[in-house]
Amino acid sequence: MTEATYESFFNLSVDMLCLAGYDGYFKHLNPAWTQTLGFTQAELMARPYLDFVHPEDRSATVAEAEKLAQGATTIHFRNRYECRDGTYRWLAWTAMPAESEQLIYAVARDITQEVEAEGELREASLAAATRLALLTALIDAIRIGVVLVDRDLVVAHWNKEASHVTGIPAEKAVGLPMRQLGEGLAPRVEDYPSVQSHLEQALRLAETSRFPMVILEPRREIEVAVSPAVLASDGGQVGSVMVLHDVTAAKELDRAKDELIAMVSHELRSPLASLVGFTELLLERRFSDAQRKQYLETMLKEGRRLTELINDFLDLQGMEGGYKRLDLGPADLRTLIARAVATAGDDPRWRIEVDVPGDIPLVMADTNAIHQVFINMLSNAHRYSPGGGSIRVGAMVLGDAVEVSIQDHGLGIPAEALPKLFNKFYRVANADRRQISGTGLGLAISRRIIEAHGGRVGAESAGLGQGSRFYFTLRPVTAAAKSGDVLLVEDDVGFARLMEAELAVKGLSSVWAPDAETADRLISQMAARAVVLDLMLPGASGEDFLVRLRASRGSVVPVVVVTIKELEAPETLALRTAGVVAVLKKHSGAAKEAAEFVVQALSRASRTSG
Amino acid sequence: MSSRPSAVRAERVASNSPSSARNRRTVIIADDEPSVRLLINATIGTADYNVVEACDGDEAWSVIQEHRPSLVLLDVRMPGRTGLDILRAIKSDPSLIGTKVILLTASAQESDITAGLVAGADFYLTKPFSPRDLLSRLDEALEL
Repeated sequence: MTEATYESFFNLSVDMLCLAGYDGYFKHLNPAWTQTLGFTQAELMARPYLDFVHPEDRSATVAEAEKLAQGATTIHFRNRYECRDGTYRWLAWTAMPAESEQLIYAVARDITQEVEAEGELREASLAAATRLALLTALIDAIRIGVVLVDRDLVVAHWNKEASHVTGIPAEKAVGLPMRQLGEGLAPRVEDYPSVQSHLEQALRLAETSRFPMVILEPRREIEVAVSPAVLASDGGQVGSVMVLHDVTAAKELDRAKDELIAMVSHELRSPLASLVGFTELLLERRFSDAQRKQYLETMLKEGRRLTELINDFLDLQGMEGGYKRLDLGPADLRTLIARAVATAGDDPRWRIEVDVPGDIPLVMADTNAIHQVFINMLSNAHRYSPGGGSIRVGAMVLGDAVEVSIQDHGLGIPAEALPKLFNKFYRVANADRRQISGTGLGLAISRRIIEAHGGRVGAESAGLGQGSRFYFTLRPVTAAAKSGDVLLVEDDVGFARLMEAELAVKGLSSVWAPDAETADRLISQMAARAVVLDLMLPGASGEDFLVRLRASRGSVVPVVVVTIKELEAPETLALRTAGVVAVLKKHSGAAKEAAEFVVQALSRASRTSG
Repeated sequence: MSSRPSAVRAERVASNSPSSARNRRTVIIADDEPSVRLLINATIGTADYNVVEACDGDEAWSVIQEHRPSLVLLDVRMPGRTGLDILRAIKSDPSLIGTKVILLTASAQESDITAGLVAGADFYLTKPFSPRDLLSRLDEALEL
């Protein structure tokens, strides 16, 4: 072939052909260059070719040129070349050096479209991988077992909950044929043949099916649902999805609910039987006066029991349902115990001894709720000590809690009954106890109350005839709960909360004491700047508190009295003399007024001192 | 087992003269509620029957074996052996073949009633029950 023929081929090529000098300039270019990049041949040859290479590709291009200068050939080298319009085109190079001529013979092809497609593909596959990871994480996070079985009945996916439910880790399960997996699980599944037949039918026939499965040790009740896994795109079946739903807790709850309904129904129907039965008998037959009296007394007793039962039951439901909220505040245990002992009554057969150290810390308590616990435990101590015997109520600091205990010398509790004692309707079955009445709810209520206080409750007994010791813990009042601007001495929780809110509006914090004894102890521990005082309190009166306050703190602390008590003029005068800045009658607006008086008194005090 | 139940029994039997006790049929009331036992006693009257009381399942079974009663009024839910346990024991004891059983249930649950009838109870009454109904069931059971 002649030079001219070579030249025509050179010019015909759609690929970009060139000769480049070792000096870094193009020496000869075919028209494809201009067609691809837009620059004229003259323009391309006027500057070093490296000028046209994308800045990011320059160092690779220089390295490649050096390899060529050392005699190597280039195949599939890629870089970007600038176009006249400022854009870049991807070029793929094949080149070989001709050392004798100090030239590089090279062919470049515009592969911009392929590179872009490749990029899109890479992005798409990256997005798909991300999405897959996301979905896998999602399926793993679901607290429902999800298993994907492929068309060959081999496990393709096994999420975390499936591992949790079955005890088989995903590493073992994935890739295993279902039949083999089932055989491994069989010894731990109740009535495996039935589960197997359900499963096989569902998988083989690609049917939607639901069936129960019980896994043993630990026992779990599982609801299995199998359905065909179908592709959204073409509806083709890719296998089956098996969903394992652990319903153990739900079933347990159902059973507990059924049991409770049966218990309540039984407990309510027994007293009703007496009421309805005796009423019918008394209406239809004649009885002696003694019999009539006995029957009517039985009816009254059973009617009262029914009332007590309904009250207890509603109390318990209220607490369990969270409808009944605790009003926690600092409380003095000695006062609470004294109140409970007074309510329990004084009977020489069951002398109540109280042994509580004077420095027992104030506890956080809802005084009415804790009173209920005391009454319940004292009443148990009475009723389960038919032969009498002393009852000792004690309290002591135990670690970071205060433990209260009620010890009797009664029937005692058999060891096997101890753990069940605080369950609803549980009553110790024993010949000696048949005559002892009770709803079987008292201790369950007490437990709820103490647990709501963040405490523990329990019982101990050395056995039958050895007496019992019931105990519960309460949290001591923290320093933070004891600090505030105003001490609020008020037994009415509703008014106390209202007063707190009104003081808060004025920017004053408050500490609530439900009785004068608690207030006595709080005032010595906190730096209250003012007191809002009720006069009629459960133990010591507001007036008593005032006398002690003046004795210990002089008249530095302003006091506002809010009371429902109708005060005679001399009484009001006496209060005024004792330094009370205002006496208000308790009504809906009283809290706001009292807060205003407190603010005035405090500003007067700061003016005098400043 | 404490000594108290037998004391209760002795008192009961002693209150009836020995000669009439031999002629009258024995009825056992097994219920852990003292007021329900009193109600049944008041309803059926001690003049017509020799009534023996039991206040839990274990005591009920021991008095049944001792007295071989014509009829047992049996509470289902009791401490110790349940009414159903005792019912099954009665029905599987050949020496108690003539003993009729009326179940007293406080649960009114279908399953309890069905279980009672399957176990061979002659009748059942749901608490609260009418004393009149109790008497007619009693008469029916003893005439069978």
